Amino acid sequence: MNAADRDIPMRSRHLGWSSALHCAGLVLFLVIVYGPVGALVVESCRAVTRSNFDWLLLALPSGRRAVLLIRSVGLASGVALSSTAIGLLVACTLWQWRAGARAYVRWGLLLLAPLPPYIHALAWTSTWTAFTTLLHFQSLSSMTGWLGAWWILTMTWLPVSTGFALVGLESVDVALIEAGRVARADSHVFLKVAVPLALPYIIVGGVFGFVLTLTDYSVPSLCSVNVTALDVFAEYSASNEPARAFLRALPILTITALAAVLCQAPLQRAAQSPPWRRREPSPSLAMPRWLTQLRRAALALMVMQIAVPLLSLLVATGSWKSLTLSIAAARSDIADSAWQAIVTVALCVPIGLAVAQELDGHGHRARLWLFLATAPLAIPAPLAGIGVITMWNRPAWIDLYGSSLAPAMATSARFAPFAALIMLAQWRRLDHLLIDAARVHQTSALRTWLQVRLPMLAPGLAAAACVVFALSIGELGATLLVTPAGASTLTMRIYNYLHYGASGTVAGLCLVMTAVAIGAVGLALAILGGWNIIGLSTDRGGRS
Amino acid sequence: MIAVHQLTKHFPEGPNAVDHVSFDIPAGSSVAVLGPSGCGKTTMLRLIAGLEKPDDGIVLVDGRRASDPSWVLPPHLRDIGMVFQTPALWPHLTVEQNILFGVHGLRRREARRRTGELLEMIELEGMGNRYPSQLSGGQSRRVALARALAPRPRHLLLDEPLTSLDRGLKWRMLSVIGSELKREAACLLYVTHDAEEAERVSMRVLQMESGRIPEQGPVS
Ligand SMILES: Nc1ncnc2c1ncn2[C@@H]1O[C@H](COP(=O)(O)OP(=O)(O)OP(=O)(O)O)[C@@H](O)[C@H]1O
Ligand SMILES: [Mg+2]
Repeated sequence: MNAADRDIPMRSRHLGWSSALHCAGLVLFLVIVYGPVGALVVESCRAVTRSNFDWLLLALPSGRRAVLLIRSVGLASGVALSSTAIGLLVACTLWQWRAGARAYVRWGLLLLAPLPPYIHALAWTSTWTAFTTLLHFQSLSSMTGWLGAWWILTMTWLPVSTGFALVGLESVDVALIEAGRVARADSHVFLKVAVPLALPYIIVGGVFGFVLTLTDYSVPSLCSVNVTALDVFAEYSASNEPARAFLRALPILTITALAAVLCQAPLQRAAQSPPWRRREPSPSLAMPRWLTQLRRAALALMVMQIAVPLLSLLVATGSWKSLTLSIAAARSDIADSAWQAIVTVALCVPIGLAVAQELDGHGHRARLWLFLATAPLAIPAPLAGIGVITMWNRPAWIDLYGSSLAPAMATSARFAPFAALIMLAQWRRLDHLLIDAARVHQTSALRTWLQVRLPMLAPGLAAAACVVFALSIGELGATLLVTPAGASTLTMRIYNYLHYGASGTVAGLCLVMTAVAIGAVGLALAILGGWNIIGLSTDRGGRS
Repeated sequence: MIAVHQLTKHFPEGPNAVDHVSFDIPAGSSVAVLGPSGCGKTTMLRLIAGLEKPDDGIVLVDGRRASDPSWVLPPHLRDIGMVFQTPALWPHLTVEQNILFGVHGLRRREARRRTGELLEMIELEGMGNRYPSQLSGGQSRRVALARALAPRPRHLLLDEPLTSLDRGLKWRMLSVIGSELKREAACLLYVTHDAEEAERVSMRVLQMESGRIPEQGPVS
């Protein structure tokens, strides 16, 4: 078998095929994710030059709106700080849970990560009301206002910040910590070695909390506080002018884009850190008493973060019968939601894969794609919805726009970056020599794909699919705007009920949503965990 | 036949990892490369395999230009068998599947026979159905060697393939490599830390030092 006998043209055609698919994925990503924003920018420029120059003033917050913006940013900063601090304390406990059953429990605490914020809002407000009534504190009877919104959003994003901090701590080489323990006290080593090395991840988690809070309007609206994101939504509902809504959103868009830019450096470091190769459990560090107490308190909050929604929804639903009744009544909405989520997964996973491969490089190109993949996370949900409307609501596309594909386009625009980042995270954990070995010994490109690349990618693909499914089932901000007249999804039904306070029914539907979130994340974790156990990750495979 | 001419590679930070290296290995002969850690041995093998693009210089494989700063022939078209510095066995494939990955066009029975033969040569009979995580360090290395030999390549690039083996086994594996070489009239580039091993592999030992290969020729 020498080189000359081999069928070179055939192989280069295969290579051509896979790179053509790859490029198609990248282009589709740009169209789906950036198309809506691009359409909004074009539309706004057109509207402004069509003599509505005074509309430009919409972009400059003044008076009441400036105060509103400051308050919104204050709320987002508060939520980011509190959830990062609690998340780090929780993660530092979970980090040491590596033996026995606790090793499984620790990731289980992240189950509610994709649960939409308004469900947390419902759960916490009803629990609070029950609690204050029980204790006869009627004066405090409802969990509304800024404080309520801050608390609910902190609880909502706690699993996200905990997850980032935990991944960060996990990625620290145990040898580095042990080298420090020889010289200094454990708490010193934790603060001077472990936390600084995990810092990029912790910062990214905090920025996520900040941006997600700033762009959410569901919780503020349920807590009766006004924020800029709600103002954008209201502007569009009142004027039906995409350009006006876009200009209104420019201030928060600037701030979130700035946050996205600022977190490029830590993201870069997190994305490029060497794949984790951990064989030893994390050392159990002796911490000072006060830190141990704080960690216990944080863990208790984390448990409440799961227990409160679950228990209060179960209690509010009442009985099995009322659960089945509310499901039966919402049957078609559930089907619509599921369909939307399936289409979103089918779109996001392949294009996310193409982007993830671009992200896994070193040069300027990888840096550019990292920016392109993370910047869309800064787009407020209603803007994503309005963008999809502006882009697709044209005579040529009217069939597409009127169909149930439009909501899936909106959720894809929001969640394709998540798919890419999850796949990148899994991909980075693999030993890249395994791919090099396949390149050297390859007999056919297809076979290399099926036998080596696909099995190695599979857990990432599956985990991304699960998470995107859960996120798009719960998506509200964009779906609410885009769903064609007459159609309705599960989230819309819940959100509408929430404002009327139809508690038994809505609690049942929220329970369905919670079950979907838990099921999806549980499945993703089981896939990733099972993959670890059968030895597919670098942790155990290919010992040297 | 493998030849490199003025081969150079540098990584963003630091000096040239491989610095204007030239030598050739005619078909049917072998060369050992000896040098301290970090001197650029692995990088040189990766350049020859086509896993990295050179910054300067060329790689010729069988007289054809395979790499230059503007173009790289894909690794699998170079008829190479390679053992990496770590075994890099695919953890989701069995030992047998790992070994047969690079082999094409064999019928089931022949493939079976070929793996049986290779497993016997590397003294791991009956372990074909194990997964890499069930092997010891030295066993994984031998499987990596069998994987490189399985397609009967005409060029072998071995990066410290026998490091964690005991002396007796090491010499036996060296003679396995030697007999495969002779049968295929292949050429061998063998990287090692160990001078004694290098001398056993080949009359020609290249000393590598901070990316350069100053002197050439047989050890006296
Ligand atoms: N991907 C990379 N990025 C940056 N520098 C690298 C990279 N790979 C290797 N180097 C550098 O190139 C030099 C040569 O590395 P190489 O791995 O080739 O050494 P080696 O001779 O194989 O060492 P050893 O005997 O320890 O395996 C080293 O200084 C190393 O730091
Ligand atoms: Mg090396």
